[in-house]
Amino acid sequence: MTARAPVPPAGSDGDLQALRDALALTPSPEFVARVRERVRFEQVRAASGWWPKLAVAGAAVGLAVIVGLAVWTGQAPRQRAGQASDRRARTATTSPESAGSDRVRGFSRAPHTPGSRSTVRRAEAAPRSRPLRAERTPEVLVPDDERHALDRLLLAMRQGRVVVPAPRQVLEDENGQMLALRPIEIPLIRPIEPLPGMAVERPGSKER
Amino acid sequence: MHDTVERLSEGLLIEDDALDREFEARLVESSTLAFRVAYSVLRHRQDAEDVAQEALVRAHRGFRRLRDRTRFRAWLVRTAWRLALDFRRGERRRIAREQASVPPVATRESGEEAVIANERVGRLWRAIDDLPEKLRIVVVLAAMEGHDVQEVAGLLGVPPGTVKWRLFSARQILTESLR
Repeated sequence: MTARAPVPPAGSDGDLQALRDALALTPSPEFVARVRERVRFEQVRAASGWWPKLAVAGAAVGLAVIVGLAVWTGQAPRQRAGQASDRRARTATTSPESAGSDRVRGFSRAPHTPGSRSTVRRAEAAPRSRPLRAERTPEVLVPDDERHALDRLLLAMRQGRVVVPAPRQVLEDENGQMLALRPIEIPLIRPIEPLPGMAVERPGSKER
Repeated sequence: MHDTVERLSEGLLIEDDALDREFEARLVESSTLAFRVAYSVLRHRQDAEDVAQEALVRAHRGFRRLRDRTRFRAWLVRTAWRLALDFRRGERRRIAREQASVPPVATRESGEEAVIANERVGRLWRAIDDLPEKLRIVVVLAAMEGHDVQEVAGLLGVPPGTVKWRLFSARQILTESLR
């Protein structure tokens, strides 16, 4: 066990004593209490800092999942609709009748086959893409302006201001051309010839 | 599963309590040392307390990771010293504060003797400030709390022979400066 001898720090004994006196200071009485309070604050902040970060991270992940699902459910029907429209386009380019200009709103002429009645049928319903939730407005079949014009026409017809001719019956020829109906021609009825040996009563013969 | 989590939580809490108690003991025995180290650089009580407080808080943050708890004082001294140097570098009003806060050394003395003593201490601090950093901290720690060579070597983590050599060099420079 060796004796502990303080080290002379500075140049002389007087300097040594002056330096020791200058450093023989103690912090204020509340210093340790302040340090304890600061340490406690750091502990609380460190402990409470965990959960908000975790909550924010969880919320961010949840939001990302929701956005991803929304994007995915929006894109899938569009892709299906795109494929369907491609199919329709291919069909249209390969079908000669479909190139005709007689396609009316929502209706199209059926492919004509010789000997078959020409029919007008509902156009093949296009495979509609599943609408997004934001596109839930009903489909407009008759626009407002057309409906208004139709109402005015009906009103004028009821009031007798407009005379609408009867619809002409139309037919198609073999080439699919629409023609007006020809008047029916009935041939004259010829008198029936009497059989041989049969007496024919003629009007006025009794009078002879 | 729930029991396991509870036991783990209790174990962690017990460990935290033990750590807190140990740190409390270290805080009581080492707070003055941290303050004096900071003061030896800053020579301003309030600044020294702020820096020492920051050093102790950092020590608490890293206390769990400190494997050799006997090295706590050395660790604290180095942290307080570094923080004080950084603080002084960033403090532009240092010179004005130094002039205003040269500590009153001898309470027994008065009048002309006190002025002479303060002047001498001021010159001594300026000479110590001019020392290279490695020599300066050795001088300060040796003058603090009656530390011997072994303790200074322990605080700085250097061999005792190195402390002796640095002290010898510092004394030579100080003698030249104060002559």
